[in-house]
Amino acid sequence: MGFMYAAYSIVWVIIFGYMLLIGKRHSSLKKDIEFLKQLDK
Amino acid sequence: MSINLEREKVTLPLEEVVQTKTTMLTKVLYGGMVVSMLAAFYFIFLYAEIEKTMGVVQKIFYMHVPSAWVAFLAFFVTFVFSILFLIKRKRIYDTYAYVSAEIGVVFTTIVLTTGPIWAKSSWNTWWAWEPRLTTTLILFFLYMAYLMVRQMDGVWDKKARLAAVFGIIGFADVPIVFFAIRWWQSKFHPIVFGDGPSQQGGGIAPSMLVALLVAITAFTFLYAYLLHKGVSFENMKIKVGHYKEKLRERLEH
Repeated sequence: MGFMYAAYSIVWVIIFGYMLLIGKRHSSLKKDIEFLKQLDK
Repeated sequence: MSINLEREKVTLPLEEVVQTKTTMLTKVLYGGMVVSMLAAFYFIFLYAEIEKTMGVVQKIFYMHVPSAWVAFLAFFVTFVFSILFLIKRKRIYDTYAYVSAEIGVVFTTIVLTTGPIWAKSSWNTWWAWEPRLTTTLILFFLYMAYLMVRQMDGVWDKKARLAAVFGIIGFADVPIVFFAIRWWQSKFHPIVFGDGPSQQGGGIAPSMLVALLVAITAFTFLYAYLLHKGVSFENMKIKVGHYKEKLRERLEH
């Protein structure tokens, strides 16, 4: 039973970890865009 | 010939670059992913029968196999878009190849972590240097190298060309991974469908097959969603990069 929980936990940690990474990249790009907007004014 | 491929299209206003609206396709893929994932959990834990020898640990199979399927699919998509990029030299093909390879590496990581957990519970060892495991590890390193090529400094189209070659050559390992247990002796890795030289395919109970197919569908939706999100993000990044370049030119003059 423990092995199954471990495997399922790892699967979702990896998937959500990757989604989090995408989200972080997205927010850093948004910051870039905000900066560019300020510069463009 | 391949330099400055999309530069003529960079005269976008920043508002157009920043697309914050959720598209219909994103909604469909997200909805499909959530619904199919919930259905997969229902079929895995409530519908599929518990395997007699291994017990509940066998349920790792429903995450392990769909992850392997998505990894293969992702590397196939990279392979196809790498060829398309080398022929047509359009940056969008390179973007698809890159994002797909990254997702492929994520799912290969899942395969390589859930596999040893299964191995420990059923073979009493975390790892065995047998054909399927070894070729999967090679596949992982090949695409890690692909991603490292993408992180190199330099002009994007040179990196893209080199990565495309990697993407095409690396895919040669995918059929080897799949057929490894059917071509060579394997004491450990079980064959479920078809026969191998040292063992015959054990088959699968109908309820387990249904759970597996639903899980594969759910993971395919997850892949499509991640690919779509990743590609739109990369496109936005490219456009912002060009915008930056234009802005710098304007500020300098």
